[in-house]
Amino acid sequence: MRALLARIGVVRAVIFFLILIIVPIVGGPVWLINTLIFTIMYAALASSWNLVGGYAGYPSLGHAAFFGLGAYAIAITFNKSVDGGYVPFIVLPIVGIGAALISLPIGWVAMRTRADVFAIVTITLLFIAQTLAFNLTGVTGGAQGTSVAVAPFAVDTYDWPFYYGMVVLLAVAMGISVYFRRSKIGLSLSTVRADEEKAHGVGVRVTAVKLIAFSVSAGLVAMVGGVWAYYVGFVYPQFAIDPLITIGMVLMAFLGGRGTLWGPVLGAFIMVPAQQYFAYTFGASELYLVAYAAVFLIIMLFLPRGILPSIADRLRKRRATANAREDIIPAVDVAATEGTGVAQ
Amino acid sequence: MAANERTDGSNANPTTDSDELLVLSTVTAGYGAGLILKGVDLTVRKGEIVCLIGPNGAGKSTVLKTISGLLRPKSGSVSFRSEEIGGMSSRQRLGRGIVHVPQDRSLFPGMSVWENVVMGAFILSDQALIKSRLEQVAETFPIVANRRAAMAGSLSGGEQKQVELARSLMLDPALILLDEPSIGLDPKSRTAVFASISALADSGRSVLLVEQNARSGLAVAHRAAVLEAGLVALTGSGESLLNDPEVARLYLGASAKAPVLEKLADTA
Repeated sequence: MRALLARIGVVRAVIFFLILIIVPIVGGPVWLINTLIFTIMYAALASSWNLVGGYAGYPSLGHAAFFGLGAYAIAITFNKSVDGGYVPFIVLPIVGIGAALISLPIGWVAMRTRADVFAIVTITLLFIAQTLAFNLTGVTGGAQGTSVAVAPFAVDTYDWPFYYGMVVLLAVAMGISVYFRRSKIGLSLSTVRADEEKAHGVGVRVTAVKLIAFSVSAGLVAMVGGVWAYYVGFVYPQFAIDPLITIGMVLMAFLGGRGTLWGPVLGAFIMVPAQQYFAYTFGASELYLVAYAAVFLIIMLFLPRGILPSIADRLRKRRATANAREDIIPAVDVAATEGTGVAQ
Repeated sequence: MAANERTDGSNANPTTDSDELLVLSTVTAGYGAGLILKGVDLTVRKGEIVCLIGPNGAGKSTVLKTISGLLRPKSGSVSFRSEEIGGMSSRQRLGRGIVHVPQDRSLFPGMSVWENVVMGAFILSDQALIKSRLEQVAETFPIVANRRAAMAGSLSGGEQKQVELARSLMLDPALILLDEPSIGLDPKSRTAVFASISALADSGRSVLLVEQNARSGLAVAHRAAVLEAGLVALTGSGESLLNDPEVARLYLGASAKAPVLEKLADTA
C-alpha cells in the first residue's frame, strides 16, 4: 500500500515536471510563459517557506529579506557583465549557502520565540533588511536601485533560462520537502510543531532541527530571489524586500495546505494566475487586490485547513463511516508517519 | 518514626552499595534566579520504586526534570551508574536509560497510538531492535496493539497513561521517572497504572515516582522521601512513611489540624 502510494507520488511528480518542461518547447503566447515564470517562482517560494512555516510550525513573515538578499547578491555581482549569461545561474548555489549561513544566527535568535511573537520578530527582520537596502547606498544603490547586466540570450527564447531556472529551484525545494518527510528531520519537525517540550522529552534535537529547517528554507528563497533579480533586471528595495512577497508565499502555502508537499504548489498555481488575471481585468485600479483577496477568503472559508488537508480530511471521514473498523487510515500528517520506518 | 531518618546529614546515606543507580547529592536547581531545589539528596537503587511525596511547590516535578535533563542543576551532582550526568542533554540521558513520563499528557495527540510508541525509540536507529522492542511492549501493554490506529488524543486519560508507560519502555530504560501518573484518572485506571508500575520494578527497572495521591504511591513504593520546600525532609520505607503519624497528618489527610506552614517553619 505504502509502496503503491509512493509510486503514484513519483508518477505525479514526473508528469507535473514533464509538463512544465514541455510548455516552452511546444510554445505559447509570451504572456503564458511570463505568467508561468512567476507562478513557478511563487510555487518554489511557498514550498521553501513550507519547510519552516509548514513542517516546523514557525510561520516566518520575514522570508522576503532572504529573497532580497539573494536578489542583491546577484545584482551587485553581475552589475557590469554576465559573461555568456549562464554564470549567474551557476553561482546560485553559493548564494543559497551564503544566505543559509547568514540566516543561522538570525534563526537562532528568532526561534527562541514562538507563534505570534515569532511572526512579529521575523517581520521586523524584513523591515530591517529593507531599511538597510535603502540606506547602504554604496552597496545597494539605495532607492535608485541597482541593475543586472542584460543577458545575451536569443530574443525568441530569452525567457527560457529563467523559466527553467525556476523549474529547477521548484524541483529542489520539493525534493528537499520529500527528503524531510522521509527522514528523521521530518519526524523531528512534526514533534517540534506539536510541542517542543514533548519533543525534547523523546530526544529530538529541537534547536538543531529548527535551525536546519530555517536555514535551508532561507537559502532556497535567496536562490529564487537571485533568479528573479536576473530576470527582471532591476532591483529596488521596495520590490526586492516587499511584504507582498512574504505574504504571497505564506498565503499560497496556507491555501494549498501547510505541511504538505503539493499544497504550496497548488496554492501558487491558483493565486498567481488569479492575481494576474484580475490585474489584467481590473486594469490599473487597485481593485484586483480585492478580487485576489476574495478568492483566498472563499477557499479558506470552505476549506479552512487549506485545500489538500481539508480534502484529505473529508475523504478520510467518508471512508471511516463507510467501514468503521479498527484499521481506518489515521488522520495524521504524512510527515509524522513517514520516516519512522516501522510505523506501518 | 524510628525507621525513618531525618536527613540532617549525619545519617543520610549510610551505605554506598554498588546497587545505587541514581544518586543526587546536594542538588540545587530552579528557573531564572530563584531556587526551587535547595540541596536535594536522593538515592534510587536497582529494581526499586522510590516515591517522592510533598506539598505543592515543594519541587517534586523539578527533581524529575533535573534528572531527565529538561532542567540543569545549578550545583550539586546527579550521578547515574556512577557517571556524572548533570551537564548532559535530555537526549544523552535518554541514551543512558533514563526516561521521563511527565505529569501532563505527553503523547502527541495528532499521532496514532502506534506512532507515539514508536516515537519512544526516536533516538534509536536500529530498525530490527525497534521492531523487537515494539513487539515486547505490545505484549506488556495490549492497548498498543488493540488501539494502534487510534489517535492518541482520542483515548481516555487512563488509556493515554498506559500508552505513555508503553512508550517509556521502548528504550528499555533502567530508570523511569513518573510524574503523578494517577492524576485525573478514575479509580479503576488508577489501579491499573499502579499495577503497571509494580510490574516495571519486577522486571528489574527502577522507578522514581512523584505522587500527589500519597497513599497509593507509598503503598507501591519500596522507599519514599518527603520533599518540603526544596529539601528532602524525611526518608524511609514506603510502609514506614505510610504509618508515620506526622506524614499521615500532613499528606494522607488524617485530621489535618496543624497547617503545613507550621511544619515548614520547623524544618527551615
